[in-house]
Amino acid sequence: MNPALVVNAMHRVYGNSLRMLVAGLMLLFLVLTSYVGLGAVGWAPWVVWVMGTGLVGTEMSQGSLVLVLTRPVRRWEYVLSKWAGLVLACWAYFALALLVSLAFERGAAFSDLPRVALSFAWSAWCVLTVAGTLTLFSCLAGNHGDVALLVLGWLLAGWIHSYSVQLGQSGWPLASALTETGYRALGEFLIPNAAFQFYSQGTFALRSLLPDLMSLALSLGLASLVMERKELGYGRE
Amino acid sequence: METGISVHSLSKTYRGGRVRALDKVDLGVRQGEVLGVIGPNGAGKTSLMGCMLGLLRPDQGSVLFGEKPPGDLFIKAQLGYVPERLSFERWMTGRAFVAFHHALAKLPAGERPARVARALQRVGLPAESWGRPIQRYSRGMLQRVGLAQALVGSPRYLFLDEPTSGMDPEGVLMFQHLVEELRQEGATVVLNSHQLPHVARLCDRVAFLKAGRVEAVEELRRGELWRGVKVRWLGEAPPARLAGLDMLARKAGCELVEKRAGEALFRVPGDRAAAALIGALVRRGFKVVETMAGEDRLEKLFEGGKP
Repeated sequence: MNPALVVNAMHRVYGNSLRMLVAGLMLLFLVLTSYVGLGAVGWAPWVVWVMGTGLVGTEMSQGSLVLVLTRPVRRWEYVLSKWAGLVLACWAYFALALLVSLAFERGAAFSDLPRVALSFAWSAWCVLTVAGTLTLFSCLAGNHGDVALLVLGWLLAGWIHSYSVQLGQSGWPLASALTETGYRALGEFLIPNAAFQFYSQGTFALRSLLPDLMSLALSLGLASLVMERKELGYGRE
Repeated sequence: METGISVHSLSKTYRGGRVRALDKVDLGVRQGEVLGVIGPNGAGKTSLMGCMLGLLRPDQGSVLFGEKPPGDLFIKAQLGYVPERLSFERWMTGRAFVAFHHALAKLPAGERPARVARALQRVGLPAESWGRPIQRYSRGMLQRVGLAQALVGSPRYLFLDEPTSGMDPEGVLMFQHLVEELRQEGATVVLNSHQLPHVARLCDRVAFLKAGRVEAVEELRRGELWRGVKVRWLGEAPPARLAGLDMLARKAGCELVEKRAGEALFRVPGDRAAAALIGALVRRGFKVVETMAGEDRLEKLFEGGKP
């Protein structure tokens, strides 16, 4: 990982005023939600998408990536550094959210401090995986095309889900189950929800982290591969 | 001859092979020379540079720096590049941008402030603008900060794609001095440019690219800006007088390129030499009736003829 690129990615996140406005409104909403901590868990994926959209795509479209990659930087190193920069930027945001929440909730929050702290720890975990998915989508599409890919992914997931229901109603239980598994895998890849499951079910199993870890490894591996094969320049493309 | 960069049978196509940008290009760049690459728009100059820098993947052929490919980190640590399109991190200040590239080059952090300041001074960027965001820079200032980021790692190989477009005359002079300094420091420079006088003044050799092929590679007389002057005279000059034209031109500091009935084309290094040449011709008995600017060698190349 390249420290200069990590810091540069964080600068890019916090240097965009529109992004900061939306993130600020989300922070306000997060603090005002019913129970401190729960809001953080629910909001975590969206915070990552707001903070990180265009992470690599804007650099590709603007052409500044060309200069970076003429430096002694491996392409996978660039991808990992961008991901790490986004993760650190989001963690800083959640640390601020935690402080604001504690100040806002005062006694109520402090009485249940371990649970509040754990909720933010889960948010931090969630950031790792969502940032991975975003990094992959950003490497695939120029500018803010990563958001378009996310929406397309959801539409696809919705279609797979409805198809699995249809299969079940048509007396194809095995096919339905397989399709439903595909839907869940895609859903987990788009928005990992181990953290939210913990809150909704109140139980924790170490194996629930496994899908998230697989999703992260797959995202960053594919993103590195995409970047390795990408042509950068402005000849007669 | 030690070859700094060697390009072997390099081909590059776009759009699934429908657009051929480079067609089996063979080119050698000698260590420490300044090579100009000229050619019309769409000739493949930028694609060639992209392949040499490892940003584009050639369909076939290879680029080697000594024996290493352009993607080798050891080679990348010695590269400097000024792109034609100046797409920088515009929210950064000029100083932060150059420092960022110094950090990316993995050079010691302790010497960063001094190296950044030296690079910015070297390109003549006013010190009061170093702390200003790049988005408030003029085109000429952008060119200068682009040059500074390329120089900050003391590159051994420097790739310059139209580096003076949009620069004021003072900036162009600064650039010319800079290339001279780099040559003295032993850097190998590849310069893409449409500005033939710059190429003629700065380059040791020039490669002419047309439709993705290297049409010609010419040695240039560095530091001598040759212009063509065509002289016409009345009547038939005696053969002995015509035979002495070559010697006469050399005495005036010029060079005879070609002679025909009633006219000759000379290369002249400047206005004074041109005046001396015409005076010598008149004294030798030529009834000079017309002098005009002739084509110089690079212009001839550009127009597709042999120099």
